Amino acid sequence: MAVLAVKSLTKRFGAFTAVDGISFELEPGQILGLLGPNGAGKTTTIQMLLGVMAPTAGDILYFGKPLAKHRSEILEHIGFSSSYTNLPWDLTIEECLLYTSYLYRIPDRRRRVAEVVELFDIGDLSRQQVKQLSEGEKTRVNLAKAFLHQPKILLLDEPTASLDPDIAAYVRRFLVTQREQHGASILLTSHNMTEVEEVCDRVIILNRARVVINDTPKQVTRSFRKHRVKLVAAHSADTVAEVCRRRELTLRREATSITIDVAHDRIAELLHDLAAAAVTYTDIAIDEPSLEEVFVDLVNNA
Amino acid sequence: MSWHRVYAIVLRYWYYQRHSLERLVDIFYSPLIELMLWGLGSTYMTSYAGSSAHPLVAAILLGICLWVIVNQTQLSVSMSLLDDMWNRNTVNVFGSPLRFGEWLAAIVIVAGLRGLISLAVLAIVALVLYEVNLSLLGIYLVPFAALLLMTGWTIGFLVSGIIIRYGTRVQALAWTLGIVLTPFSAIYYPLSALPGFARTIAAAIPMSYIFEGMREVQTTHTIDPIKLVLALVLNLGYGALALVYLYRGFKRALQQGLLKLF
Repeated sequence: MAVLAVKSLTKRFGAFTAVDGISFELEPGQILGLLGPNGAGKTTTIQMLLGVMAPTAGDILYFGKPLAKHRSEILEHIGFSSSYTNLPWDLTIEECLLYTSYLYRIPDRRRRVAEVVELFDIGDLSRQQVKQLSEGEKTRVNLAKAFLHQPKILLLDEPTASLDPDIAAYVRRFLVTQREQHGASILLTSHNMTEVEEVCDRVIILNRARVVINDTPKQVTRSFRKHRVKLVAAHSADTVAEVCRRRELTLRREATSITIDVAHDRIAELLHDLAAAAVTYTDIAIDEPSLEEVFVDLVNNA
Repeated sequence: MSWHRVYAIVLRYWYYQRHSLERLVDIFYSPLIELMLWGLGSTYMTSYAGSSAHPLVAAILLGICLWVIVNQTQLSVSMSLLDDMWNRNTVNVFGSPLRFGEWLAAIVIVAGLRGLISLAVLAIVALVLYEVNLSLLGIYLVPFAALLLMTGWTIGFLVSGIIIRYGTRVQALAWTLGIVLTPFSAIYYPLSALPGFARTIAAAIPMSYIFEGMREVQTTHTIDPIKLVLALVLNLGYGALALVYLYRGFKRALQQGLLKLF
């Protein structure tokens, strides 16, 4: 059973629809990436999933129970971190974590606080006030707060924003470890496509308030029409162009090579046609598009 | 109601208090200055009017001591919400298992403690500097304090309800709305000193019965119980209305999303 099931979730602000009937599920131990351009509805969705924004329509079920009716009981098992919110500025890191430990009734709280402080390498900061921290340090403290009660589900809004590359890499490894060792299910938003490809089992791309893609990162890039077949075929360039014209494919000619944009499932046909046309080439490469290219294309062509 | 979550929020305000000089100033500095100004002014007047003015001075200083309960309590309730809005922390607070009722219980406790601590400090200063003893009120101090706490919570709920609807641009109400009621509350003078229209307004304000009762106890050592009953009924009525207003404001904020609450 999915630990989180979102059904026809909709949020309207007057005439403006911020989230338009989206549905998806988060499976146990899954890392799900929620992507989309600014204003696509990611943060609105996360807010509704956290119970701090009332949906206009639709259902949010955690562990099979509706969030609207079992809010407090459910949120005991949810961890949340966002770059859009702050922790209390005047409090020290230790104080933030300690009072949070009471909110979630964590047993042996001092030991657990010491553990997460160690995990996120913020021991040196624990006596500093939140207002004294850099953006990256605040992000780490936010993550420590989110993981403090060892939640079953994590909602992470831009979890590696403002982090140095080495710390961001550590956090990505940490997320995967949490999934593997504790079975945590994670829903994260990110603008870093490489990160999403690296850690997510599945991605949802939102655009203009709707889900436009819900698939594995591999499948998303595979189904994308712009795979690139790059040939070094200086003497057969005109023949290649003719084959592409017949198949209505776009190509770019460069000094010694030709690059053809083609869908993944039409690559075999293309190669067959090129062979039939007696095209000779000295080198060939087939490039899969990155998730970032898919994302940019979707957003630009929506 | 989970008390560990209530305790978490109370603990957080203790941490706030520990770090913030402004909050300490809010609790002690302003009430002390007010008490000392009125005390010095009253002492000056006594030097002209003789010892017969002493009960009048005592009534004014007792009024100031009790008024601090309302002022500090309502300020504390309003500030609890404002703190989270200023910190952009409302999503972290209400995105946790914390229930609205638990948050409310915590701020009621914190505000009550703040009001009573302020009272205790002023009572000591009034005794030491001006020989005005709060124990003059005897056992009546307990219902007076309880009723004034209720008034403070009520004003705080109302102010918070307004702030949650209209945002921090109306935050000045946290410092001013309670003070608007002071001319009609008979804190420094009896109701009889008010003009007719003001007495009509005062009749609808629970504090006016409490401060009138305070003067009655000071002179006769007893009180017409109807004053306490009226103050209680008005407090309960306004308190319920203010709570509903705050709760509806919170529900309305949820429609917009708490992230936009600042």
